[in-house]
Amino acid sequence: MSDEQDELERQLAAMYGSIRPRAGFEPDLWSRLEDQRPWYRRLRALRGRAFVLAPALAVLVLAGGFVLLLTHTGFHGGTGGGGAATSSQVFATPAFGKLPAPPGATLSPASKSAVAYSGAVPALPASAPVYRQPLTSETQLAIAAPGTQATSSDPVVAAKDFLARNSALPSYPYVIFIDGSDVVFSRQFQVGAEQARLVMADGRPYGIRVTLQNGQPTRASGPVDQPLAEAAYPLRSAGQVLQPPAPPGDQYSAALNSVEVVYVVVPAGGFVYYEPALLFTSGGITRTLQPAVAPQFLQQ
Amino acid sequence: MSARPPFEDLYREYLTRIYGYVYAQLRNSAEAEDVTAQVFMSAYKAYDRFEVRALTPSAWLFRIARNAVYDHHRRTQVRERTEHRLRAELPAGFDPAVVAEDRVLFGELLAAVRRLPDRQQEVVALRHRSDLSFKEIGDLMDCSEDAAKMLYHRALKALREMVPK
Repeated sequence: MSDEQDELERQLAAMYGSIRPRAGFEPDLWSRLEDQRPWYRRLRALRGRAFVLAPALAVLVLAGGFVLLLTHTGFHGGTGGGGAATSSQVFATPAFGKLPAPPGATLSPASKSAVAYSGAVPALPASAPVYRQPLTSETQLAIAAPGTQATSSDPVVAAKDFLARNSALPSYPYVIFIDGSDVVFSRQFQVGAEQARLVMADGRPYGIRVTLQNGQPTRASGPVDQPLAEAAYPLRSAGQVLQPPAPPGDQYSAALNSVEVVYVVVPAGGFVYYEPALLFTSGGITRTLQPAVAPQFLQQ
Repeated sequence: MSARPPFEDLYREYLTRIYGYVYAQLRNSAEAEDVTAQVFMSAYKAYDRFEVRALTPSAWLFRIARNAVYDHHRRTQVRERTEHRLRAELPAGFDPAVVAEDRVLFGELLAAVRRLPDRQQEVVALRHRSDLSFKEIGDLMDCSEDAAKMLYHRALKALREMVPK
């Protein structure tokens, strides 16, 4: 099999692997299936699982008692500087459930895209917001205006004017990138002390994208400037972020020397999620992206 | 006689894979959810009659999924013809939801897969979303193992020409 074919098959596997239903679909459909089951069968299934449920109930009762004890003794725990283990107790039920992982993202040291990293370690807070927006025609900008005259020879100025004329210039903080013949207004989010820009899983900037042809803006697309739903999620600790080097002979291993805290856009089902992540690069070339959200809150 | 696994295990293991297979052949996530739900509803009703000896759970579920996709295509054929005509009158590539999805990673690749002939699309989706062998894929698609392999390699060849390196 040629290398080219191998790479194409790897991309296909990653692409199909990235197709997932929305977060709530699995429990929703399961409860519909359960509703179809006659009551006596449900009872039988419950009896069959009694041996599993009993210890779980016991743990719940014990945990409940422990929480009651802490409440009554006035213990409130420490704040600040908590790692993922502490924060995962606080975030027992994050609002969006388990998040879809960015396509192709590294989830474990055994992953093929594990890398050796030799740069500075970013200081991540114990938690950060994850944002979510429905993926509908109302939340996606789509302006087509072929034949529009450019107001400036500077593509950034021309793109800004184009958006302003169409009442689509974003009001949120953004950073501008030139991506081929496109000008991208990449939204920025605060993560601890850092401003994190929005990227796609391959590291390219994501946001309102104005396409220019021969210097003239012809179209704009991307997420509409609307308030986003948000939910706090615990992050990995710095030690969890930096994985051990790839196994010898791993074709994707690379020595990386720079890391940036970003937000990565992850489409899943009917939503687009913006999730904190770390973008590892070598000489300015994106090599791998790793979710910053604690692994137990990501779908595998 | 092989033991039948609890349906819940099958559901947990195959929901995402079946959804991925269905999604790759339909146009949007809402349709993919509807069809995936039909697949599992049908499988749930028929599970008492399913025999592990005759077919692996994977082959059984993907057969149901394949039929559900065909039924869906039949039902929506008229509607789609109308939609296609309307789309042709709009500037190319400006369905906002499609633009948004296509802008995101793998957009070009998925778009290329969707330009393949139907059977090639299907063999690529089955190869990458099910754990079926070429023999099982051939059985499912009513062709021989060799024919399934050839179909798959033709699809890869076409994709290589369509997707810029």
